[in-house]
Formats: sequence, C-alpha cells, structure tokens
Amino acid sequence: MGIDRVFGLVCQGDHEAFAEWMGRVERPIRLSLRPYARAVDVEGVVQETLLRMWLYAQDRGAMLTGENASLRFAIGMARNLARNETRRLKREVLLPPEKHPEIPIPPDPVPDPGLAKAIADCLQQLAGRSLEALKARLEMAAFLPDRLIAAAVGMTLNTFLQNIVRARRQMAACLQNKGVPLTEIPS
Amino acid sequence: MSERKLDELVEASVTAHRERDLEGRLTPLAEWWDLAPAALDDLFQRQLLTREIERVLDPQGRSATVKAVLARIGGAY
Repeated sequence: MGIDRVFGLVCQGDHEAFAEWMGRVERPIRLSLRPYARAVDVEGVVQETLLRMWLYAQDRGAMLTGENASLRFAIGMARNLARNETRRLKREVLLPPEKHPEIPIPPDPVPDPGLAKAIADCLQQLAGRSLEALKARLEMAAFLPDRLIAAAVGMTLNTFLQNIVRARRQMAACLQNKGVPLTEIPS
Repeated sequence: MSERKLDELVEASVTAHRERDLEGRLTPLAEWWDLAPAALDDLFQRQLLTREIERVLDPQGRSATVKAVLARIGGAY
C-alpha cells in the first residue's frame, strides 16, 4: 500500500497504520535533519515531529494532497522544529553556512532481506556481555533509560556502555566485511 | 578526553529514550551537551545505523523511535 493511502488510515486514528507510516518516513525525516546534527538533538526532533504528525493527522491530515504529501509535510515540520530548537538553544553558530535546499527524499520501501540477513548474521557473531548489553538495549531503549537497562542486566552504567561500544565496533567491522555501507544503509 | 570516554558519551546519546522537561519538551540526554561538533556528526551516523538495526531485528519492523512514539500516544508496540 502506498504511503499516502497508509496516511489516510492514520487520519482515521488507526495506530497500526501510524506505526507503518512512521516506519516508512522515519529515515527520510532523519536524513533531512543532517544539517542540524551539530545544533540539535536529532532524535528528539524526529520523535517530536512524529508525535505532532499524529495530532495533525486527526485534525487536518485529510487536507494533505499530492504524491508523498504527508512525508513532504513531515519533513517541513521537522526542519521547522530543528530551526526553532537551534534558535532556542542559541546554537546557530553550529549550522553549516550554506542554505539547505529542500531535497526530495522518497519514503523507505520494505527493508531489503539481504540487509536483514547481514545484520542478523553479524549479531550472531557477538558473544558474552557485549551481546547481552546490545540485545537489552535493542529491546528496551524505547521505554527505559540506559541506567535501568544496565541494572536489568546486572551491569553498572559505565560497564554497560563499554559493552555496547565494543559490540557496535564488532558489528560495524562485520557489516563492512559483508560489504554493507555503514553511513548510508539502503532500505 | 580519551577516545574511549568520548565513545561512551556518544553511545549514551544513541538511545531513543528521552525524558520530557517541565514544559513538555523532549530533552537531550545529559551526555549530549558534552559532545563536540565532530562527535555530533558521529552520533548522527550511529543513530542512523542503530535505528536500522532495530528495525531489521524487530519482528514488526519497528525501530525504538517508532516504539517510543507509539508508547507516548498510547498505541500497542
């Protein structure tokens, strides 16, 4: 189903459709915020954008028309939020000097099964406390701060983060060996 | 700052978990404020990769960002 039809269901208050829509637009929204990466907390801006799009969908979402209209609107909203946050934090000096043209970024298609297999294979090569820490982070990071996840797996916060760093380095090396580009993973 | 300590500071900010402040804003983690511009570029790339790994490994294809937002609006995650 196309992204615009999925967003049509979001406008009717469908949580499952919203989850699918977010899965399709999260990465393009995040990529559109690259120029603001030094000035704002990009993760916070992405989440705030998605939350506001949920509210907007119930209110005036049906007014969005045209191909990928909801994505284009969300990217505009994300950049506005990032600009405002940059000003509020007085971090304008950290923005790149050039203007940021609106670059059309298509929504993500369904993830590539080859990429999924590479990631799963690399995860299997991890072992011990690094694997335990990374898995716990992957499962709980949406809901709990790191200090509580660390406590849940019996680690201090410092040890937990050290294990995550170790796991990430091993994952990165493994993915690179499999020819997966780490900075621009295709979907 | 040692490379190891810097790595930990960046890693601490990768998580999708965010608190709200008294005005309702999602707040950056404490570690985020200590990151220099180059480290913030690194953070951006790590978050991009991490959200992709989360999405690929989740049975429903949802990243931690998506799950966090669903939790905030009261949807099932």
